[in-house]
Amino acid sequence: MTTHVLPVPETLDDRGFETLVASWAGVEGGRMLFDARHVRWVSPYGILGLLATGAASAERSGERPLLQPPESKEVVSYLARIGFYDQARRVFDFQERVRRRPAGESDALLEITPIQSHQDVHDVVDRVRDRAAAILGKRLGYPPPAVLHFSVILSEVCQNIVEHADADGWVSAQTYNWKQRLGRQVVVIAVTDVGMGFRGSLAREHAQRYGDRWSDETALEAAFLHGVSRYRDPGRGQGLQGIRKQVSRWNGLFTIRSGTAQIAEVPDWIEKEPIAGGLPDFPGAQIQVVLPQLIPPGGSGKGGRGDG
Amino acid sequence: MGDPATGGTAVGVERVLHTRVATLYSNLVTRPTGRAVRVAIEQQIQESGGPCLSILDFSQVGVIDFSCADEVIAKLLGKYRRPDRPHDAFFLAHGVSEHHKDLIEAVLQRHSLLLVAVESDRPALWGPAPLRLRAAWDCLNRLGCALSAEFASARGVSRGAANSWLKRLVSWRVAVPEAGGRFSSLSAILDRRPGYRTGAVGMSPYRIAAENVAPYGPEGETDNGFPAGSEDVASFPPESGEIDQLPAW
Repeated sequence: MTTHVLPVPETLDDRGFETLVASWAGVEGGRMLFDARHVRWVSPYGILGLLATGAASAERSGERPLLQPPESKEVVSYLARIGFYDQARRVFDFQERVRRRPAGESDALLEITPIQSHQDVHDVVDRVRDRAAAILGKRLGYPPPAVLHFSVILSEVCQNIVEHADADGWVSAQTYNWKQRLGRQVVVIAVTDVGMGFRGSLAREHAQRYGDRWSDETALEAAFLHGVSRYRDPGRGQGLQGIRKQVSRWNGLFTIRSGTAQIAEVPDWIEKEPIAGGLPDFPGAQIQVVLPQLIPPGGSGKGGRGDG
Repeated sequence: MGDPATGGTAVGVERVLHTRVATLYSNLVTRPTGRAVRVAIEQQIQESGGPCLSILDFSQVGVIDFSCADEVIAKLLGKYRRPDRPHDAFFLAHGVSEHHKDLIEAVLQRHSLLLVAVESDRPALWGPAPLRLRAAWDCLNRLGCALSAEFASARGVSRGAANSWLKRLVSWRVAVPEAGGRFSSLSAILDRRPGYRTGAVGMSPYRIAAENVAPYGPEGETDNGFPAGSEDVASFPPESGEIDQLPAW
């Protein structure tokens, strides 16, 4: 039996995840070993991506993949605090250096949380409220009602898993100081699953209409830009539209990767194509929302607009 | 009853039902939660037995998301606006915050529905109402309760046009046709209920007790037996030139 070694990038963020997926997509059959020993930095999107890649490997080969956990003490400690090992245990076979999450609350806005049901969505919204109020209000300068809009974003992206993925998924949120990229603090929400993806979800109702043009890109466009849903109920599909509007109002970044494509609501502080195709194929959907610290009126620099 | 002005469609409101929307959850998120809330409200309406005004009290609601707002607001309004609605029910949102408003407005826009809400103790019309329909609603709201002739005079339109506007408001469930050819705004119905404005009336959680209050409207007119939906927009007389065209809702 062959075991394929996949090196996990040192910086495991959205770009690191793409590198990992490219390696993963290039392997056919056999057990996989994810070598994360050299990881030095992770984002919620990247770490959920690692879990998703592990889950997709198990799905593909029928065998739980192996994981060599990071060696950096800081990373090990951080991963323990955000609950990574609790979830990794369900996906990977690995030798645990850290067996328990440290006592007390972590400094994460939302630890890695599995989403399997609507009740999980309720729990996430209930749990995150106080922390979100403190972080959004005190550290990022958002007005008090922003915590409610933030909860709506969280709720809708999590429901996307329950309603459309036909598979389990995870959510996590964290604050960072993006000194180099933005010179400001940001909140990052990541949600990922390894389910049927947007193309699979929408295919039965919409593929025929698109004919030969039906693809991951057109499926993402239909859902993201036009509010199309797999359900005939005209009330469906509002969630993503609502998130787009709110994130745009806050000058944030909102991306969805599914299959071989990625679509984005792009703010003015980042260079990014609004839609990209031809990516390495990966199951499910991977969503990221980045909300920057608000610039007070009259302030300068890149970041969120201070119009709440 | 059966006044030509209302086309024989006097409904009135027999009961005001006060529904704490947050009885099940303080955060209204996910579709199953929305469905549970809606079913409970529908049950309350059914148990009320007659035409009613359902006050949807959001004062204890924290977060409401699009999915839940769609399940509660859009589906309730859509169902009770249809000609085949199970009961005559009107809805008024109360205790709403800016956050609730944003979400509910988005849902109303999506479905082209209208809802009366109390904002800062004043009624407001939410949803994508054309300007002239909104003006008609404002006018009736100022009058409180009016015959079509009184409305025509206040709006400066012919009686036929006034009648058509009032029926249109009724078809959107933002006004109530009453006996004697009168039309009431939803807030006027609330004003007839002593103590409501001062909060003296106790709120009963739905599913536990629908509040029963004295019938509104003249005696003998409350259970008129008119079929639900008989005043639906399809039965409107031809519009005069004074009425602007609504979008194809």
